[in-house]
Amino acid sequence: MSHLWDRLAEAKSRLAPVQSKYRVLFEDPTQPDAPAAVLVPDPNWMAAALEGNILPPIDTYLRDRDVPDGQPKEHPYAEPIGAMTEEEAIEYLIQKDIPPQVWRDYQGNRSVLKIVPVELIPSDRSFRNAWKINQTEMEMAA
Amino acid sequence: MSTLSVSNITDGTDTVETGYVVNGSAKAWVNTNSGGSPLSSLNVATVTDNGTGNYTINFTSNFTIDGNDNGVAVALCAGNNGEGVRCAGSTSGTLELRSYNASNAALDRHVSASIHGDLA
Repeated sequence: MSHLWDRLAEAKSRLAPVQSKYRVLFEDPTQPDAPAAVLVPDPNWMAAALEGNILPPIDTYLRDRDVPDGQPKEHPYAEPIGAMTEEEAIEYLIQKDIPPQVWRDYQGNRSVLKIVPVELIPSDRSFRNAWKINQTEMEMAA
Repeated sequence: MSTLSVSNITDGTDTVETGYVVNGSAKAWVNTNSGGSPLSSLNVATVTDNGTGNYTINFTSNFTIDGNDNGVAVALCAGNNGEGVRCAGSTSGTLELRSYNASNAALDRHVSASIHGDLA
């Protein structure tokens, strides 16, 4: 099995980037004063996810979190998974790049994670550090 | 895809081992717009826009890094008029970047970063 990096480099030379139509808004419950964060998928990564047979299973990343730095990781040489839909790819990225206390462990009533269309992200960033997830509508509120 | 298998590369005068070139190449790089959206990249899964001038680069293929955060080297592209970008921390799978203006206040701006190191 080739290394993940080799597969990514090969895929980048072959696949056209795909701009996702989604963004993921989240608030970290352990940092209540921090503004809402916006997770933006990389176009080359999304192209690889939609193509299939390039990216490793998400479980390998989750297990690698418990592997101490300097020890061999599982995800670079794991058997790649097949093609994902864009929605499945977003769910994969949530588990991979958003802290578990947001998507898995949070027990509160506040909505701390939302998948939204790109159009709902405000283009005016004047008050970026005041952004919070609107608790009543699928919109951002400053 | 063809594979060129050689131990050394030479221009006729100087000779270096192939591994010298391979190990010295960037294992990840990214160029974002001022809102943190990746415009072009290699080995990047997502960019998190944490706030004004505050971005987290999340790698697809992680780096090897030791307990003292040693192992990843970063080259950053600064802006004009005293604007800049600095590395605010890294793990084997992430790189924290901050962009700022000439007064050292957080500022949204496009960011370019080239990341070198050993892959996990």
